[in-house]
Amino acid sequence: MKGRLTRWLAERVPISMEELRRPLREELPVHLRTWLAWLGGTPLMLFGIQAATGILLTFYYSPTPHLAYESVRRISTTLRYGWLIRSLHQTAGQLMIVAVILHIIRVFVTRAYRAPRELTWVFGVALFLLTLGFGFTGYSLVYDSLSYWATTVGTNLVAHVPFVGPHVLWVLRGGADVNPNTLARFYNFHIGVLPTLMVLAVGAHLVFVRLHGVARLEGDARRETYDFFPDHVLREAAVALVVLLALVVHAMRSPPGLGEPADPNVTPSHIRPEWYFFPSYRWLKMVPMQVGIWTTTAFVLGMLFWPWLDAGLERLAPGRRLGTWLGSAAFLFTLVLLVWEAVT
Amino acid sequence: MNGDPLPRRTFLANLVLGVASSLGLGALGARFFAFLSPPAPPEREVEFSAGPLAAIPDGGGAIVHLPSGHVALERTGDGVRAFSAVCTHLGCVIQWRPDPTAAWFCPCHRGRYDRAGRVVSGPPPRALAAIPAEVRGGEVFVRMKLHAREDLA
Repeated sequence: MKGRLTRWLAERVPISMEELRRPLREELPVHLRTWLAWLGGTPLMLFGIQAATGILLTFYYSPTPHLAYESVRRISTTLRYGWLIRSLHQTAGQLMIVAVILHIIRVFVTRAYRAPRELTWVFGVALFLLTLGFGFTGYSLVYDSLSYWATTVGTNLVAHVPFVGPHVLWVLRGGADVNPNTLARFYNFHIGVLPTLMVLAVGAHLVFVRLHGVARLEGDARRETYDFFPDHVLREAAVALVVLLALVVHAMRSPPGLGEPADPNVTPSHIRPEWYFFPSYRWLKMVPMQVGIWTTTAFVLGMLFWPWLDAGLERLAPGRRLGTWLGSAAFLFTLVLLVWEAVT
Repeated sequence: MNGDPLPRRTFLANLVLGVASSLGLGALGARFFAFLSPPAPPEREVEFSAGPLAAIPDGGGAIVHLPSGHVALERTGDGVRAFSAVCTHLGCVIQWRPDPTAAWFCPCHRGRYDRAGRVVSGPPPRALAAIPAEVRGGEVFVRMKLHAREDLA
C-alpha cells in the first residue's frame, strides 16, 4: 500500500527527494559555532509568528477611523485571548527588529558581505527596512492619540524630500491630510504589500546565501567545517525556542496598552515614536530639516551599498579598515541618539 | 550564447515584441499609479467665524479648529492675529504658552515661535503661515481655503 502511494505521489510530483535534500548537506565553517551566528533564522521564525497572529487580528480589526480604535480596544479587552494575540504580535514585531539588527551586526563585524556576497547583504538591508516599514504601518493602525500623531509626523517627513516629496506624500496619504484613505492604505501596506515584498526579499536573501555558501572569516586559518543539517539547524532552532519562550513570557506579562482615541485637533504633549525610531526622532530635533532628510537618506543608502563603499575605502587605504571604523562610528552614533532619546 | 549571429528576422521580432510589451506594461503601470493618487478636491476661499473675541484673554492666545483647518489666534487688545496652527516642521498642532519670547510651542520636536509667528528656536524651517483675520461686532472672522471633503469614513 505504502509502495503504491509513494509511486502515485512520485508520478504526480516528479521531484527527486535526493535533489531536495541537497541544499541541506552544506558544510559550514566552524567560526559560525557561536550564538551570534545562530540569529539568521530567528527573524524568519518571528515573521512566521507575525503572519499567524496578524492573520488572526485581521478577523476583528476594522481599518476605518471611526472603528479602528474601538476594534483594537475590543480585541484587547473583550475577545477571548485577544490581548495575548495582540501582545504576541506587538512583541514579536519589536523582537524581530532586534533580531535583524543583531544579525546585521554579526555580518558587519565578520565582513561577510564582501564580494561576491554583496547582493545577499543588499537583500538583508532591504529586509531590515521592510521590518521598520511593518513597525511604522502597524503602529499607525492602533489609531490612538500617539499612533495618529506618529503617522502624521512620519508621513510629513516625506513632504520635505526635494522635488517629489509633496507628490509622494499625497499618494502615501491618499490626500492632503491623514484621512480615511491613509488608514486604508497603511492597512493595505501592512497586510498586503509589505508581506509580499518581505516574502520575495526573504526568498532572494536565502537563495543568495545558499548559492554562495557562508563566507569564511578573514584571517581564520581553520579549515574544519560542520554540517548545516542537523548541527546548525538544531542550534538555530534552540535559539529560536529561547526567543519564543522569552516572547511568550513577555507578551503575557506586559500586554500593550491603549492610549486615548486619536484626536486630530490636539497633539499630545509627550509624543514619541516607537524605540526603533528614537535615533531619527532625536536627530530631527537637533538639525534643520533638510540636513535631517539628506543625512538619513545618506545613512540608508550607505547601509544598502555598504559592501561597495567598504571595498572602495579598502582600496583607498589598504589594511587600515577604514570601513570598519566608519561603520562602527555610525552605529555608535545611532546608539547614542537612541539612548539619549530614551533617557530624556 | 553560441556565437552565431542572430538572424535579422528574429532580431526584429524580438525588438518589436520588446518595445510593444514595454510600452503596454508602462502605460498600464502609469494608470495603476494614477489610480493611487486621488484627484485634489476643489477648494474655495471661505470666511469662518472663529468665535467671540472675549473668549481669548487680552495678550493671550487660543487654538480653534475649523472645517478649513487648525487656527492659532492671538489677541492684541481689540484686534486679533491669526496663523495656521500647524507646525511648519512636521505638521503637529502647536500650543499656546504664556511665554513672552516664544508664545507658540510645538510638542513634537520642541519648535518655538514668537507672537508674530516667527521661529524662535527648534527645527521648524519657516514662520507660521499668516491667516487674514478681523473682528466684527466682537466676533473673530478668518478667511481660509476650504477643501471639499468626501465622506469616506
